[in-house]
Amino acid sequence: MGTFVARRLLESATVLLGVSFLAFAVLFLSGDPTYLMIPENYTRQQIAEFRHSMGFDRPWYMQYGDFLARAARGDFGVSLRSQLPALPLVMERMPATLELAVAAMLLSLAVAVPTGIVAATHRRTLVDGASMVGSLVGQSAPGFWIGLVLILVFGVELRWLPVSGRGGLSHLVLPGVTLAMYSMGRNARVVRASMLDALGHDFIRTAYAKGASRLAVLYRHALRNALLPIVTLVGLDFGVLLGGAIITETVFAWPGVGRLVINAIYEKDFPIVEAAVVLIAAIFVLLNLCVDLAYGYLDPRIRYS
Amino acid sequence: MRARALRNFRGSPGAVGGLVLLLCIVAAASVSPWVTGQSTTLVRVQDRLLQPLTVQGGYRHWLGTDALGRDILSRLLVGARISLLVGLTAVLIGGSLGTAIGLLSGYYGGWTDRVMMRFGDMQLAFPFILLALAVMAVLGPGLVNIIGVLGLTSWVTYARVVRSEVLSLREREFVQAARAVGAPAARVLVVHALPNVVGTVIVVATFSVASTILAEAGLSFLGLGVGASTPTWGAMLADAREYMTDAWWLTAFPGLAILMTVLGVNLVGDWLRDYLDPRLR
Repeated sequence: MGTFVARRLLESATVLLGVSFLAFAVLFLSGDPTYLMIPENYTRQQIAEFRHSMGFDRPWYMQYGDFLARAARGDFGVSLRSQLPALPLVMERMPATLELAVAAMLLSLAVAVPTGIVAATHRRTLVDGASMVGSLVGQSAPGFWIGLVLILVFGVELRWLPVSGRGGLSHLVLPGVTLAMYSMGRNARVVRASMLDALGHDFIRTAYAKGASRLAVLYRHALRNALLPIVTLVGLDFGVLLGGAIITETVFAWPGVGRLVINAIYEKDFPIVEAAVVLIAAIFVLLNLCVDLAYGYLDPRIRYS
Repeated sequence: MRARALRNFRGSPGAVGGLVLLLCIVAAASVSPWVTGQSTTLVRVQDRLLQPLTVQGGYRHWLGTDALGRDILSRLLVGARISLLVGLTAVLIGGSLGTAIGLLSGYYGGWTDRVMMRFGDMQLAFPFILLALAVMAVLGPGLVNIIGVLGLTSWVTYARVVRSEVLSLREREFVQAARAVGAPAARVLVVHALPNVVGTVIVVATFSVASTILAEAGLSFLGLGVGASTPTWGAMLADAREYMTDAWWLTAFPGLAILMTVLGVNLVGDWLRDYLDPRLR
């Protein structure tokens, strides 16, 4: 287990290094940020001095080394727009995004796991067919459109729920449902497939043969084995949810990192974009590391491979 | 083999429904200029926000008009071409690139393999839409840009799947035999490995068309897609937001168009997967 953990830690570090390089490269290629940062009336002499003082005239690998050294200390520079440090601005928005993503994930699992189990145990019945078509529709509809339709129905027509901003639980309902839709559909299908897989094993027949009740077989024998792929899915899902949150936040004016990044992109406020990209990737990598370790703990075969 | 495929296909109502849906959309997209006879860019402010089915100026607006008086149906049909074009070309790029990388990675192993796979991990560590957004922000909106971004960022799945197949193929007798008689790597890969991974690649590619169409719609919705002058489904939905309270049809129809197209692709993909490669379930 020790070597497994060490190897995965090293891999995560490499991935983060690569992400930081990608973030740097994308913005480096976008051109010299000097002109975004200086007043228009600067003379050529002043511009050259400014570039030199900011280090923009150095070769890219030196700038990257510098970027990396500063990033390691949590310093991504100041927002070009507000002149405030970039990382705290992003961090400040993180709780709102995490709240939305976690709510969507809980909702998705709360619907998908029971649906998948029922579909698997009632294979080839109307229930199975209907829930699988339903989950495919959930996977095929664009999230932002579902959001717009929900706003139209529950906000504009029925006036039941608030359609923008962050507040109590009622503010969380529409964006949460919108964001959860895609992963709900996918998870239900995965749960169904892995339940069917588990139910096909010999030990299920053995359990029935020794006289265990149907419920005991389903939950004690089948579900426990079916849960492994679902654990991995939760890790991957979180990345999808964080990405999806960017669009969902735009639709519902949710004050999270997604909206911050979108606005920063429109305004070419690159320090904010860099800080957000690296921070989101770090969360994602860390989460997947935890999932892998949990997986290795749950299924000993994995650690030794 | 063909007859079996056909029988299997007919026995699956989902697959037939999906294919019919797709054929309708492709047909509508290809005949769009003759069907509607309406310009998609002609601005007629006096005809703005007409309800669906309204007859105006001797012409029936089946799905209504938008805030500038442009016919929604005509714009949807042109949008279908963009969606399909972006979906198919991007998948072609990503699929070829990913398959090539997967073949080489799996066959040679060692450093090539390790570097490519770590690179893939890095890309997967990025929420994909964030990467696409950052690149589109730098490049600016445009058809070629969006196809490039969506194509080049989608290679990882193909590479991983193909690589794992090649790893096991490499140990099989017919590949060993080919290598023993001195076939060069290129021949082994193209003649012996490629035909054996093609089924898997097709399945991955089908689902990838669906997700690419969704991604394009999302980026266009955010204003970082094909560009403002082109009527894409995503951009139509972005325009619709302003008039949501007075014109429901602006929001409803472009979204339904995306849903139907993606659903069609997913239904066909489901069948293809079950038929070609049950292990991917």
